Amino acid sequence: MKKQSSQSHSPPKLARWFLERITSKDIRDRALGDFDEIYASTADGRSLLQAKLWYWTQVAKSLPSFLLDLAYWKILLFKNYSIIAFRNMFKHKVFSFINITGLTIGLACFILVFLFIRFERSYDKFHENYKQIYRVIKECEYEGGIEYRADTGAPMSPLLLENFPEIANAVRFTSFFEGLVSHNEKVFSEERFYFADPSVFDVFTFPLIKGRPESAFNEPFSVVITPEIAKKYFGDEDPVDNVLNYRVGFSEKRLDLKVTGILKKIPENSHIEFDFLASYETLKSILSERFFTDHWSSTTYNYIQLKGDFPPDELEKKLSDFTEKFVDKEEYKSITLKLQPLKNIYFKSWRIGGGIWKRGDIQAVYSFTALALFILIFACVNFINLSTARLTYRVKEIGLRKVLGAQRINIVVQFLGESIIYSLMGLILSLFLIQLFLPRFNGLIRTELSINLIDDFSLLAILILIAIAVGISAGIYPSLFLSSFHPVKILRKTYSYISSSVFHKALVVFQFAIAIFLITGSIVIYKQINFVNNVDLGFNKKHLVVITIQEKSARDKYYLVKHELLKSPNILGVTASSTITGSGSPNGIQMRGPGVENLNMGIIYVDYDYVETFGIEVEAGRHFESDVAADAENAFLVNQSFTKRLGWDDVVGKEMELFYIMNNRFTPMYSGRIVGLLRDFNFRTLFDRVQPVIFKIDSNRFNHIFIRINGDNIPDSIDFIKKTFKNLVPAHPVQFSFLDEIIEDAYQSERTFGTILNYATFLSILVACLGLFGLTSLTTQQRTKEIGIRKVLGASVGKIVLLLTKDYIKLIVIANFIAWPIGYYFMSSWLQSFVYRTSFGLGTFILTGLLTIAIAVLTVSFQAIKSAISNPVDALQYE
Amino acid sequence: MNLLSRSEEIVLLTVWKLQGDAYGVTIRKQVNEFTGYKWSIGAIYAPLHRLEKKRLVKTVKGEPIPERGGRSKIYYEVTLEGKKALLRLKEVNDVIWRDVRISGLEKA
Repeated sequence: MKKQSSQSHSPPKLARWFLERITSKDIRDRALGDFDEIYASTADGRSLLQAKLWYWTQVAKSLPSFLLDLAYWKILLFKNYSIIAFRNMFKHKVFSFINITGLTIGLACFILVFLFIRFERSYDKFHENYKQIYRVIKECEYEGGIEYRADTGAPMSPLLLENFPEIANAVRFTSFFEGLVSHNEKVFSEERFYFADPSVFDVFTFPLIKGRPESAFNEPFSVVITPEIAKKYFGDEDPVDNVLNYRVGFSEKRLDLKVTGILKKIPENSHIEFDFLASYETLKSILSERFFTDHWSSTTYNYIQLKGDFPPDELEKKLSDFTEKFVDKEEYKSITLKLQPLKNIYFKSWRIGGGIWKRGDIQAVYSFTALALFILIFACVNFINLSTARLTYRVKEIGLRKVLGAQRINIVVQFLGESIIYSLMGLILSLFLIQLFLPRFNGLIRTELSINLIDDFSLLAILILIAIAVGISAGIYPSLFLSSFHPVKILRKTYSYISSSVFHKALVVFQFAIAIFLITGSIVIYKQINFVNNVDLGFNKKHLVVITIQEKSARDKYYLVKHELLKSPNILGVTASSTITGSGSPNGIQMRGPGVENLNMGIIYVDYDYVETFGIEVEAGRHFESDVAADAENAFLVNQSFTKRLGWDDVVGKEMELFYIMNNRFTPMYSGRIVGLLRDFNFRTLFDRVQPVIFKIDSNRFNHIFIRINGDNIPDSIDFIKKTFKNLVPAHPVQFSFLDEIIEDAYQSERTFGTILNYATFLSILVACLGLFGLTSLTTQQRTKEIGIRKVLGASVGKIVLLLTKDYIKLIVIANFIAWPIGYYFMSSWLQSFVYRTSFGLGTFILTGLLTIAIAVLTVSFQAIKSAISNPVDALQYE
Repeated sequence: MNLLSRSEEIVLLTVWKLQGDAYGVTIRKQVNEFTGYKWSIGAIYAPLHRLEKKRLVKTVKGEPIPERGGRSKIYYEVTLEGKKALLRLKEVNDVIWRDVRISGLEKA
């Protein structure tokens, strides 16, 4: 009877299940027994409901105590594990040093790349409305295919705003890309000068630190500027209500613009970049009516802001019908508008033409990630290799723990905990390392990354998670391996680590194969950059000052300036051209001559003395002579590629005619005869092959002045050039550069990548060698007795060193053979982007091989020599 | 040797007082009477668990009982170490309470 009642009154299942979860194993049964007992007595006396209620409340009341009890024992266990971990860390200093250094370097690289990617992904997200902002781009279908362009016509966004109620606001940006800005004496050429609608302050988050955004663009001829520009033109003066003079390119149009505000510095992670922003109304006074009515011109960046979270796809569908009305069917098969979300513009614009603002390099993101991962994986590999190789030191502890009742899972958790401790220490040290190197990294890749863990709590949390993940990936294999041994076996016989373990060897080969691959990459990139810097371009790029003509007066008075400049003995030559020799592109024109009809050809407009000033070799005929008056009218020079293309044998003296065909109308430009043949020189970058080109004198088309100066007295020459320009063309800004620097700049991104690859290669070799060092020191220690006996039996130091190192040298040789084909494949495809490229063959690989073997031998033999020269008595006395 | 916490002291003393009849339910009942408020079952077991790990109490297994869902009563006994600890606690308590004026305390 009693039995029945107690069964029907069994306590609430859910509460009991819960109770089982929160009690520790030792006391679970007793506590549950007590609960049941009191519950039974309560149920007998009072109602079932009351008893159940009692059970539940008692569980709830006991919860804190039980949880504290659980935590108490977990913490005690953790304390014990941590003590063991730290004891081991100090006991095996070399092991700890290698692991912590490796993890520090690996994590530092990884965090740097993480910060870099986070920065790249943060582009344009600082705008409060970024989710609703879209760039209006055009999709043009030609006979040849589809082209996307970011630039559209000026009437586009007002028209859209008018016709579609789902659009909340619209902004236009327009620029002339070149122009002169002046204030009193200060004149500079400014490229980042934009005109924008007043709505720019509502749609985008470009706050003003001075002036009011509501009224800044109320009137035409208003301009807001960045703090940097304020300092450049006004110094300490207050720019607001002051006037800046703006001249559009080469036109005679001058505008006086009133400064109505100062912008807050534009964040680095904005794809939109400008220094000046003037009110759009201003354009009405300088541009013709056509600008404001042509829908498809490539003049304007149109941005719209949608209302709320209106889906852009629906609007896009309506847009194709809407745009149908103003498509010129002759020019395009079809043309329509698309919407590109603001947050995608930075990274997803690679097939969109006409965007001049910043664009992300996804390739750089991938390669940086790969490099950082390599180094981090190396550090993990070190940890795996050394932990498993160190088995002998830990095996007794593990055996004892197992005998005392530790489950495998306990051992696994303990070792994982240790690897996580190493990884967290690495994290702390890597944060210091990053603080140290962040400015250098920022300078290299031109970003403004920063790390501020106090303000950025989520970053700290992410970094800790990363460190824990790294700790787990490094520790999981060793902990499973070390916990797998049977305790009896462990304690009965002594385990000795077998140095020929295939697993360790494979990991070492893997590490070094990647390191060798990186070395090959570094060498090839270094060779190529060296090659492009030192290759004979066919002209002399040294000591050439380049002044880009930015103002009409300088073009008008060019010959006067030239005459004046040549008076100085330090100035060896002055000439001018339509492009920057070595990095620019020729113009296009059409030609006809003997046997040739309507052929497209490149043309570069040059001055007399061009050939002499640049030191270009004349293969046949002569260069332009200022004595020959007719040269300015009817003389041409051509290059060797030109004759090859036309198949003309005797090119000098041949007559030809140059012309354009515009709107089916023949427009003759020049006619005359070829007076000289020039040896091919690289007037474009080395990414391009030398093309056929014609040289012609036309002083109306000069864009750059080149001044060859005496290399011995550069500062004086530059002073003289500055003075001459100030005197003769005071309206022209004094800004100039050196040709060799301009040419080098063309390979900037390749050089940056090379530098980063060098760092990564160095670090990966360092980490790999640390691992190798640790591994050899462990294996040599285990062979101490063997070495002692060998020495007693008469082995020489050299023999012992060879014995200890030859295994590893074999591994490095294998790694070389694995890495060479991979390196060859990747580096030859990288070189494909250059038309003029360095060669690399077996020599490079043998160099890499010898280098890695030398590094490995150095690493390994340190330990080997140390044990080989030690006294055998020390090794054997313990027997 | 470290002193025990107050809850450990109360529970240990109770186990000693109950002399062989000390298991979860009785300990809790006794403690409730001593202190005048209701301790949760968890609040009893947390100090008991620690006392057991410190080897101040040991357990003796009783017979399985149906009211306890077929589980045994686990009786607690104070070990030699536990007795020493209790004596030490008494000493400390006596020293602390010696010469304490009770008159002023009562008014508060």
